[in-house]
Amino acid sequence: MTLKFWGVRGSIPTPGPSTLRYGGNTPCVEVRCGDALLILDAGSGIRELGNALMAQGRPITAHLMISHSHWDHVQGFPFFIPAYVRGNSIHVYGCLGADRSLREVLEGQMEFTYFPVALDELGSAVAFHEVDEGQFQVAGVPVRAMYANHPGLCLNYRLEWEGKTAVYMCDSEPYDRLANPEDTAPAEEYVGIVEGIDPRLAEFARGADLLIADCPYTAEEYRQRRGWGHGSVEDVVQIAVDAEVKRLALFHHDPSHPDDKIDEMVEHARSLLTAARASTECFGAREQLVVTL
Amino acid sequence: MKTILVAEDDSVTRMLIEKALAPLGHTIVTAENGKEALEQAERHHPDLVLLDVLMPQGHGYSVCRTLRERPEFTGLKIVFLSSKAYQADRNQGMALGADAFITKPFNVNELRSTISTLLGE
Repeated sequence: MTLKFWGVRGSIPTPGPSTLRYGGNTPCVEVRCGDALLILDAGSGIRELGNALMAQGRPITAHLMISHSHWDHVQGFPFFIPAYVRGNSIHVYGCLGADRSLREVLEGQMEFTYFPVALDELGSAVAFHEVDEGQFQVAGVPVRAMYANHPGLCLNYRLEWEGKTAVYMCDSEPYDRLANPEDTAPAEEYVGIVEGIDPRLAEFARGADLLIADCPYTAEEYRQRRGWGHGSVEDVVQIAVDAEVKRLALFHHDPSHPDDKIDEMVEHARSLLTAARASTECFGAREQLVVTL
Repeated sequence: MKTILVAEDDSVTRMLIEKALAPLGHTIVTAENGKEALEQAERHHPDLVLLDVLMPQGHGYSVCRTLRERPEFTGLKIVFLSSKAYQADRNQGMALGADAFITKPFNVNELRSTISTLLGE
């Protein structure tokens, strides 16, 4: 299994001199499992991936797995050139929207008011597959999906191929933070299993060769942004330690963070892993980085 | 006696909810996922549905939307009971036609009083 990062930034594309090393495109990760081409999310990074695929000069069958429908994860789709080429096949996977179908989710941003080409005018054959929490196959690759704690509906994906595992855990905040906003013990009359959910995230990532994890905030920033649907370096490291993952990619960088800040966060994560006596290797996801498992 | 459908994929939470509702004296039927929730709704025609959001085989939002679209469920009370505590999710649930949105961990008294009020007790 080989992965290539084409977009690593959260929220909004952030081109400019302060993001040159990590990159400013929103999420997109190319995954190759044998001959199968899987694409995790269609942030603005998918445009460059599309151009690279076109340069190969062959018909393309791509399996695009959308984590959720927030702009930064779908905004690149109208600029994915292979979708315009007759003879190509694009399979789109994602969860059913809260109030509309997966097709309508992508169709909406290509309506006349927002974009000049409608979804049904694309030249390729585009098929939509609504998926759910659970297990299924994408192009013969076994996939597990689990809902993340994020406003709206958001899926984490676990891909397994020839003994290697990559987990894509994008846009996720620990459940207990919102359930217990004051960091105090819940009152006795409160019941309901929320504290049991967060450990499920570590179980979902258990033993992964690579965990790609949403990590936009420092602990201090998180305190100001509790309830925004994202976690901190500490949260992500805790999952990596609990899950005993081999490699941890800090991902979905905050748009306000210049490259040097991300370097600091990576160093901080490494020190936390060392303190936890974990053997997990940590790095900051950056555009064009290739990881072979 | 009224019928309450509890749609919740986590077995422990489902059991806690059943225990919390027992003193109300209503008939409780359960479902483990979205598909089963719709099947149970068709089978039992409940007066109220307690609906988790993040369930396999059809999330709670889609179940709510389907129930609201079907005339045979006119008058059905729908209460979301979810670990999703974001205001945006609460707004979405209410926009889909829910009567209430309660977040986990839930307060037993709040849950009971919400249900009793909605059932006109």
